[in-house]
Amino acid sequence: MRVLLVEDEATLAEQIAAGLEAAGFVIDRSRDGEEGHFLGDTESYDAVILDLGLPYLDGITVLRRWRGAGRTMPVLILTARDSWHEKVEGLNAGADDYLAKPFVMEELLARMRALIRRAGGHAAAEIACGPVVLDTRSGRVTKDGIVVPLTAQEYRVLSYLMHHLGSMVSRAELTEHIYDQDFDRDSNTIEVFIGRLRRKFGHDLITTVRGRGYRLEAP
Amino acid sequence: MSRRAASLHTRLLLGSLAWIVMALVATGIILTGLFRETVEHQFDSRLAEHLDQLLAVARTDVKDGIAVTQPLSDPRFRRPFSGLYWQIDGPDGPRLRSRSLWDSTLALPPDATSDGELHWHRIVGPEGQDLIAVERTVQYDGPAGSVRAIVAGDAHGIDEATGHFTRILSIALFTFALGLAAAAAMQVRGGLAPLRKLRAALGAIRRGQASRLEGRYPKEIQPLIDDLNALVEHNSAVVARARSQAGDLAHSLKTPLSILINASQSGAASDNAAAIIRQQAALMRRQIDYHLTRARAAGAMDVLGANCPVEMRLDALRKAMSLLHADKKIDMTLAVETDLIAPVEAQDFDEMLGNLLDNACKWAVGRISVTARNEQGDVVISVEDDGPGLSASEREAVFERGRRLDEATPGSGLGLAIVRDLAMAYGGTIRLDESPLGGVRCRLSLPMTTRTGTAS
Repeated sequence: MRVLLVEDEATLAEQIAAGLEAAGFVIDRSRDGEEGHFLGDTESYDAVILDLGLPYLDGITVLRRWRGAGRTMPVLILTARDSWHEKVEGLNAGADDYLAKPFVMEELLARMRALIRRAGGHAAAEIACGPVVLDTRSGRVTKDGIVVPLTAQEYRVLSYLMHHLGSMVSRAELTEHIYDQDFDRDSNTIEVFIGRLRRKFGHDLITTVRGRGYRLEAP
Repeated sequence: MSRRAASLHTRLLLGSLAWIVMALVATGIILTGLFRETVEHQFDSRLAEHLDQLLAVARTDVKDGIAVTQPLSDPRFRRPFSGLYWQIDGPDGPRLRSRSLWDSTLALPPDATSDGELHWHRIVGPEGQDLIAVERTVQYDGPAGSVRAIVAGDAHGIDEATGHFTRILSIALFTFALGLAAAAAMQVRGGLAPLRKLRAALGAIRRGQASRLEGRYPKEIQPLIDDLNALVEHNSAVVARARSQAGDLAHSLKTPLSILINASQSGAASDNAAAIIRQQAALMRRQIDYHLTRARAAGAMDVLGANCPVEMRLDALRKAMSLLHADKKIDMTLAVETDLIAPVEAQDFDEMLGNLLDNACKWAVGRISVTARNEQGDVVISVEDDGPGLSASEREAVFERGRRLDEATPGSGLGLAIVRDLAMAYGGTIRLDESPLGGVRCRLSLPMTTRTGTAS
């Protein structure tokens, strides 16, 4: 899951990025409103963490511009401005969630996972595909109730496919969502991860749509 | 009995009335005097004419020395006690008199007049008549010698005419005074109309229906209006600045706090230190929230002209709640009176209702009902949920600062204390009781008229 983090405080941005990366997210970072807006407008993200008090362009304006341009990715506002008036304004400007500073990392993670899950149309916290279950709250994957250990990259691929259960996901799309923008994208590595996932969960979990991409079939 | 300055209306009206009465009484006195003078003058000149006629018909006579040979033209000289008399006195008393005097004589005070000079006297005549007499001393040659020729007339006619005139004049002047008083009253009313308009406009500001004094006023008042508008704007600017300063300080502290908390969770910190940092950070956050709210509530005290469209804000809040509690399927119904305006700042309205609705969303099983209406001048908003509810002692406890009944439900525990502080700042109240839905009902009441004075 690829997440855009727009936060001007460097230390805090570092901490958030570290926390999210440890939880299997891929992070693109921006330190001002203009760059943040550009990234959100041109790149494809599964979610955005947006500060409100930003240099050059404030967060609410960035958000309004994205929504005005038809960008629908879920956005969580993370700000020190925590009055209800500001919350209501942010949420009515198109944000999907609002978290006030100071916050606890677990809460940010839980909210991000819930946000991404809901954006994929999954109402429950767990996404199941046959015996394989992804718990979006903890980020754990089980098969027949037993936790299957995954590397960060394996988790990202599986998580993305499970969030898009039943839909065809192209290699390019998958690449875009599991690497950050600076990564030298080589789609061949995707095949390696798909191969490893098939070995861990069984060969028929992921279907290859020849020449187009992959699909996780809902049972 | 309070000692209040008399109203402008009363002052102006009493002033006008005093002047009207004084002017008209003076007019009456002067006119009556003038009229009396004119009538007296006429009377006197007629008496003088009679005297001339008397002297014209008086002839010197050998026997009596003087005789009136033919009657005077006015018949009243012949009718007894008619009120018009003549008499000719010699040096030793009356010698001739008119028939109208009958058996009485005119008693004139002794007087010495030079030849040809007319003298007037006020004397008492027959039957106690009040007479005005005019006399002239005439010097005849021969036995007649020096005589005083007197003509007297009843002054009663003068008094009667004057009295009649005074009565008519009084009625006319009184009517005139009434007209003037009515005109003055209308003028005062008309003149003070802009002040009444100003009072209505100020009332509208106080009730939150307007944010400035609208309309055009006479040029004497316009500077006052401009100053008042400037004051109202300055007032809200000061409040806004105080808020944003308090807010800025609070917010500038929150990001470092976030960093501290996050740092405590990284492996670098020992478990003990991490626990202390988190605990203290939580404490600091509560302090910040509390003082931020105090700043807001203090600002709310003096906000003039605050108003907030209830339905619009509740709609926005409902949308916010549906996102913040997206994983809970809550059916929130709004029943808001059309065009209801709450006399509070939108920020404070959102803060109060945001906390109430957030609480309701945390505790509700599936239903929340929000009603807002005007109850005898107060805006009353009820938030009810179908959650587990609170016991009477718990209801007391939830207002305590930092108190939370369930540590597992996230929140700083300031929510209801903030709502109560803000409601009190606006002179309102918050009450908790049981909802027919099964959970808690929060009843927030905000008075339409502000606590600083009433529009009596």
